[in-house]
This record gives sequence, structure tokens and C-alpha cells, in this order.
Amino acid sequence: MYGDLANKLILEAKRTQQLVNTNASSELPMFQEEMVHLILKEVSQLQRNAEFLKLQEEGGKVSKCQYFVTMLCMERNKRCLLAYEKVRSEVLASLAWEHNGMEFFSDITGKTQDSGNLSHYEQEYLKEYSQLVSDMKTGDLIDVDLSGSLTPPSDVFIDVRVLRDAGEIQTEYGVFNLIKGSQFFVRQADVERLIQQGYLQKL
Amino acid sequence: MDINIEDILADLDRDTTAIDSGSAYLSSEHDTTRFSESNGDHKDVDRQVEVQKTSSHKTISAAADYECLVTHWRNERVAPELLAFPHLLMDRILHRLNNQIEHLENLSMGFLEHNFDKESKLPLLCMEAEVERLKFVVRSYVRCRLHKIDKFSLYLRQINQDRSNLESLNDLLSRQEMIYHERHSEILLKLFNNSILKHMPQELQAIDDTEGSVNMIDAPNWGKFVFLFVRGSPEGSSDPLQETNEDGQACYLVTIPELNEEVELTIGGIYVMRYHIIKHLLREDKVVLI
Repeated sequence: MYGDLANKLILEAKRTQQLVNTNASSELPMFQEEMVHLILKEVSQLQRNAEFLKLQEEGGKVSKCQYFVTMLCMERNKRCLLAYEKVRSEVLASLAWEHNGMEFFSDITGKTQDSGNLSHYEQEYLKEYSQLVSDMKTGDLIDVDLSGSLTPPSDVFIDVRVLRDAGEIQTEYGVFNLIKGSQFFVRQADVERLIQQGYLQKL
Repeated sequence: MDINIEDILADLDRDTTAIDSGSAYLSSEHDTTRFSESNGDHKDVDRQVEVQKTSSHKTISAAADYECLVTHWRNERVAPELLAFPHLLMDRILHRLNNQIEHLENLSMGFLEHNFDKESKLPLLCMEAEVERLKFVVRSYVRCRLHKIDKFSLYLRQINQDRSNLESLNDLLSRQEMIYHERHSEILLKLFNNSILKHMPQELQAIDDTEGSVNMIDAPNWGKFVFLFVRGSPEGSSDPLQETNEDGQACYLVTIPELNEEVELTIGGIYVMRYHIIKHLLREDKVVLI
């Protein structure tokens, strides 16, 4: 049947969604290049059918019905393709909010090692969206760090343990020497970014 | 013989507290927000705002603004639709936040220069925590709105194009959100166009197709159930919507169209209700979502 391939693609999209929901370190699975390609091929085939049906108009009721079903198949394929792409773009957008906009904003490709998994257009989208996010942060709301933590602050000072060696890291409020295994008692606002990046662990 | 003199006492009270509350209002403003040089002109802005708001009899103070912001935040997080953006309120809050951060920096500098023993760190600590909290609320609020803008971007565009609509997008969104809305839908459309829609036949290339078997424009789920608390009008002022039920309690009457049934929402009660039924009460601040 015509919609079967698209159905497979939707299953893939569902799997992607579950994968992202279960573990926070979202690594987007491979873009299903050939499947999308096959579906698009199917669509163009359907389109040729539709054009052919359109030409023999004297068919009456039967050809009208055939034409309608062909259109419905195309529509279904379109819907599935868009849904798949939309799921992926949403994951990318959340990636842009969570991980970028930090100090290592520029090297997106270095950070997300799955950039090979993205299609060319998705890479472009990710780049542009990250740019948009950083633009948003420098607008009126410059005092409110928009990409900051969405868990409410409870303590002013917290204990943190260093998980990964990071050498000397400059925060806006001073210099820390982050040696693996050492502990600090610091202001939460200072180290929030470092926790998000995974250098520190909150105790 | 009982003579009720409460109104006379209230009159007397108002006389004495008039100066008190006024000075308290001023001093609190100085304490919490520290207008430095911009003191004068900001006051002017406040006055103007107050003039605009006299109809609702609201005094403007930092605390009241914060309460208001938290209410907006809570409503926004629960409501299925995008609510109107409180332009004046956000302007004031961001301005205060900015001032307070500056003030904090100045204070901590002062600490570095001359360390008084008697000066404790406690006020500084409290102010920092307070700033962090306010920042969190604003951040959460804005992020929530951005999420909704993403979700309803096609719907919002439809609203914008629809001339007959009463609300313009300018009231609904802040300036920055408008920019975000435009740019994000632009790059998202580019992605879809390049990867899929370009290869589609001509008649299927629209992203906002409403003729097909499935409507591609997601409208908010108006029938969503929400929890609400009936707050009523602020003081005992007359309220045209408000009515009294048999037990003598003040209440609002709403009608559920599907069931053709009237429901009394007594003030102070908590209800679970479909959103579109209580939308007009929410607009007028009579109920809050929880």
C-alpha cells in the first residue's frame, strides 16, 4: 500500500521521541535519508498518476474517485513527512536552549557529535535557531538569563564537587581552579552554568 | 441601642494612615528599588501608569507588582491559550530588576573597600537570593510564553491576518516575542520547504492548509479542563457580573453551553472547569488559575 513507508517513518519518529524523553542527553538518531527519499519518490509517482487521471476526464465517477484517493495518499505522505521533520526540529530546538548559549556557543558541531546524523538543512536550522536564541537573550531581557536553569533557586550557597578536570575557569565573579575531585562551597548563581555543562556535580 | 460607627472609625483611620501609607510607599520604594539618578523620571512613568489604572484602583508598589507577575505566570502556565502580555508590568519589573542588580554590585564593592565589622552579610545575601528568585520567575514566564508561541505560530499568524479580529498581535505579544515569532517561523518554514515541501506537488505545498482532511493549523484546546480559584473583585466595590445566591454568598453565574447548565462559582471556591467557559472571568481578573 502507498502509506506503508510513511508509517514506518512515523514509527521512527515515535522512537526518537521516546529516546529523547527517557535520557536527557538527547542524541538525535540518524536522519532517515533514504526512507524520506523513497517516500518522496512515491509521491512523485502518485502525482504522475494524478495527472494521468486528470487527462482522461470522461471517465466519470470512477476516475474521479481514483483521483481523490491518489490525492489522499499524497496528503497522508506529506503529513507523515512533516510530522517526522517537526519532531526532529523540536528536539533540535530544545538542544539549542539547553546546551548552547553557554561559553562554548560557537562550536556546536564539536559539542553535539551527532551533527553527522543531521541532514544538511537541519544543521542550517540548528545554527540559525541558536543564533535566534542568543539574540533573544541580548534584548530587553538581558538581566534575566533566559537559557538558565528552570528549576527554582532554593539556596544561595551550595556544595559542588568537580567531576571533570577543567583547569582554571573564569566565571564572571572570579576564578576557580577546578581540579578533579575537589569540592567547593560557592554561590549557586556562579556555578549554574558549569553544572549544566557537566563539569560540576551539585551535592 | 447599637450604633454602628465602623464607617466613622474607618474615616478616622484613613486620615491618620494617609500620611503613613504614603511615606511607607515612598520609603519602601527607596529601600527596595534604589532609583539612583533616574528617580525622577521613573516616578513620572509610575504616575502616568497610575493615572491609566485609576479605574481599577490599584496602587503600584514593588510588592503588588510581584504578586501580579506571579499571578500572570501561574495563569500562563495553566491556560491552553497564549494570554495577553502585560507590557507595563514587565517594563516596571525589568527596570526594577536592573536597578537592584546595579545597587547590589555597588554595595558589594563598598564591602570590599572598607570592611566594617558591624555590618553583617545578611542583607546582601537576602537581596541576592531575592534577585535570583525574581529572575527565575521572569525566566520561567518568558520561556513558557515562547513555548506557546512555537506551538501556535501558524494560529497566531492567522489571527494577525484576520482583519475582523479584535485583538491585534501587538497586544498579545511583546516586541521581542514578535521578532522571535517571525524569525522562528521563517527558519522553520525554510527547513520544511527545503527538505520536504519543495518535492511535493503544487497543490500540497502549503504549510497552513485548512482544506485538506486534517487542518494544519493547531488552535488552542479551548475545552481543556483547568483548576481555578474564584477570587472575586478586590474590595467590596460593585461588580456587574457578581450575583448573590440563595445562601447569601456572592457568586458568578456561568453557563456550560454543551450541557445548557448554569453553574454558580462562589467566591473563595475552587473548581475544575472547561477553559472557554471561564475565559471572560479570567480576562477580568475575577478568577485565577491554579
